[in-house]
Amino acid sequence: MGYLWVGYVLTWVAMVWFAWRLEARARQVGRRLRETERDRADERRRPEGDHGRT
Amino acid sequence: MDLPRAPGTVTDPSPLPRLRAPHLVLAFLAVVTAVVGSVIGLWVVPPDAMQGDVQRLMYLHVPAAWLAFLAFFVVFVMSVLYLIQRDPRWDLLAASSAEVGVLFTALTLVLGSLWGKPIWGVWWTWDPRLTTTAILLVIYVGYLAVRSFAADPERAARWSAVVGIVGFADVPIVYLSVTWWRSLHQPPSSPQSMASSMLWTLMLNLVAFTLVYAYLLLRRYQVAVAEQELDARRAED
Amino acid sequence: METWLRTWAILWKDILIEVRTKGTFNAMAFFAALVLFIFSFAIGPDAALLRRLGAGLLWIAITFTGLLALARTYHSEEMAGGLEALLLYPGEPRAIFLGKLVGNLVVLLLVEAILYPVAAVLFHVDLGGHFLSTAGVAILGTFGFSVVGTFYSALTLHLRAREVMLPLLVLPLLVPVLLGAVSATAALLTPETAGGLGGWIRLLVAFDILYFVVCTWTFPVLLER
Repeated sequence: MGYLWVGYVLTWVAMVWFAWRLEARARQVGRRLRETERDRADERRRPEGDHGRT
Repeated sequence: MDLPRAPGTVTDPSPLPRLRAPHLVLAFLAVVTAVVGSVIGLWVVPPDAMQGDVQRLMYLHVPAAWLAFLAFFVVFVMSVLYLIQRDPRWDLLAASSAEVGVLFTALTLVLGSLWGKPIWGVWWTWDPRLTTTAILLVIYVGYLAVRSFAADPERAARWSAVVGIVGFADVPIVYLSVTWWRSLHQPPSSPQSMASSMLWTLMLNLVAFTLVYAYLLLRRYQVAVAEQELDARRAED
Repeated sequence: METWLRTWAILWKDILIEVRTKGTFNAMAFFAALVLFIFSFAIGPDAALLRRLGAGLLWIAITFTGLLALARTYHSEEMAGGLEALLLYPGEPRAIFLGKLVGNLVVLLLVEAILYPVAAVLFHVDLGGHFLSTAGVAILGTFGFSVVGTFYSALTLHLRAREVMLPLLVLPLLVPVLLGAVSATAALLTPETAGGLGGWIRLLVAFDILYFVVCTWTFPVLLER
């Protein structure tokens, strides 16, 4: 009955692995989007260009 | 995934009515039905009279096959919608369904082999459904290859939509032709009637697999939309 | 009417180029015959076995040669930087597809005119008995092949790794055509090996009509921008 167990284990491992990789990718994209948000917020707070300096 | 969620922006990607963290609800339901379905399939429902315990692979193999074809039907519908409306969200849904579909198609083939070896003594038979599934896998791979080899996202979307539509039209024709081909070379196998307990177990596992598909599809789509937004922002800077 | 004129113009241009350069048709026919020879070597001198496999081997050779021909469908346009120029003229873009389709069909049928006799000799098959029916099956099968192939060769034109992508996309779609063409040819020429001729002919006709309609209708999508 090895075939039976290999089949069941393989199926659920494959699905969990696929879901896990998706979650990792989602976390990565979420992090990078937040970074761009932060960068844009910084841009807006900075004074315009180098005109203010001597 | 905690993306900044301003309503009405592209980080609110779902064209469907919004739930809070719908993917967690789907994941929970999927896990519950999958566990119950497998437990019943492995220990509660009686084994097949002729095939023995190996027949329990049916509760995985048949739902996987069902979802493999359903996923491609979704690819087809989304491809048509995309070509008509040119809304990139349809294209991303199509691509997401294709990726998840490859998973189910590959599973169908592997489980078919695992089931076939102890029963018929061979790893592969030219059974019409199995053969059509193998061809479906090649069509999926072609779809995904077009997307990754195209010059830009708009062409990737357009060309893969065409592949999705033309490929889908092919599936029933392949099935018919292989069925006809096999019927000429061997007597048709008599359809086996199933005990009602087996049928219910099969239905339960089918629901479980559909929930898994829905969860993976939603998640993949959300990631695709977020990645597209990320590329757009980077292009602006 | 104008569409047919454009179709004919494209077809005639390709015929003229092919006749004047004369290179590729001869090479293709030779390649196809060579494939059949190699099959004979690989399988061995068993006459009965070769006869049983004959129809299948013949159509494999046609498929390989066909893929070569398809890859060159838009070759003359590419060399002259011309595909975009063709599109600039007002009028029906589907005429491009139809012209190229007939061009590929004619080239392949001419190659098959050489290939069938070679196969008949190598695989101990008699062509005389059902010559017209066999030719009919050849036309049906080659038409299906050409429709799908001409369509996808436009799609893969600007795709990376297109020499690999064309077979990858085309072959799954050709499974019904190959099954039908091989089985029908075998049913006609080596009837002891196969049957069901009527069913296969119907399948080929249905496939040809369906894909001709779908591909002609969808073709403009491939040419956008």
